[in-house]
Amino acid sequence: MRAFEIHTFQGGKWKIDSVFDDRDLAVFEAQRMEGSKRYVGVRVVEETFDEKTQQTAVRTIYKGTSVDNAAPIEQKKQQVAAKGAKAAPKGATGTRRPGKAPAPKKAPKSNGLLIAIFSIIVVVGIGAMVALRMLSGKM
Amino acid sequence: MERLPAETEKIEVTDALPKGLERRLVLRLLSYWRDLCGDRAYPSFADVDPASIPDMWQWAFVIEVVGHEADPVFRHVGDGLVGFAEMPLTGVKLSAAPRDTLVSHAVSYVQAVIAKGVPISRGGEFMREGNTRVLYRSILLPMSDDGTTISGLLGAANCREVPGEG
Repeated sequence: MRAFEIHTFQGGKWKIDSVFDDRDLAVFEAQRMEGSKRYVGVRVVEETFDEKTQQTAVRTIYKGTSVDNAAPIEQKKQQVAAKGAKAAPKGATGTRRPGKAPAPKKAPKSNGLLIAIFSIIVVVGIGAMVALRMLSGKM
Repeated sequence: MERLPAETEKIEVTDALPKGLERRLVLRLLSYWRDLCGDRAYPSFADVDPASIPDMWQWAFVIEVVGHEADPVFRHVGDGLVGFAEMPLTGVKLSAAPRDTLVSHAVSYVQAVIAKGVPISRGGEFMREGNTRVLYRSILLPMSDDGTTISGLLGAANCREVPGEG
């Protein structure tokens, strides 16, 4: 007798979600569950009971691809959350649509460039004033 | 969101699955049940809207467990199943369902669902009158009034008859 159990990873351990006696139905359902993105991990475990020996053999026949994606997705979420916490002012309680990345901010112009332009304007202005005074003294 | 153990490895199924599995009654009803669950372990019968699943409802049945744990009772049997039942089943105990009918096979693992507390789907075949071989597929889904304790089961089954075999 064979049974195919779908397990989902919840609360730090694998839990039985449903049981099928048909391999194709179990794998199809597991793939569908994985596609829903509701579960961190989905797997199908085949249990074969040998009536002669009264023993059950267990093997995993499927584990969803979200197994590989779970850690990077979680890390990305934590990074986004950390950035959001730094950028938000104290006491701010604004909301953002889940999954929607904030619009990139425009890069601020360099302060050094602004100081240089301002310095040139000041120097040119002072020079012009000195020149006008000299000209007015001659006249 | 939690993370899987670091040692977890992906295992893929290499052979192609049969086409049309998504149209199977049992998987469509399971999907409907999952939607009703939301974040709960089990949905309530109050959540079920037969008008929204007319094609499935005719092959569905409702079993009351609370107060009848040892021998639950049919509370609804869809029109499609009644034709295979040989007698009205609403209000009838599961043990009283006629043997070798679609319904009797569909409820043969009720106690396993109550014990495990998860949806179970089983299929098989049996012989009915006229030397007709019947291939069937069924599912039983736990339901709850309070979201945690199983108070009843929502089930469904359909079949295909193969005359003259056996």
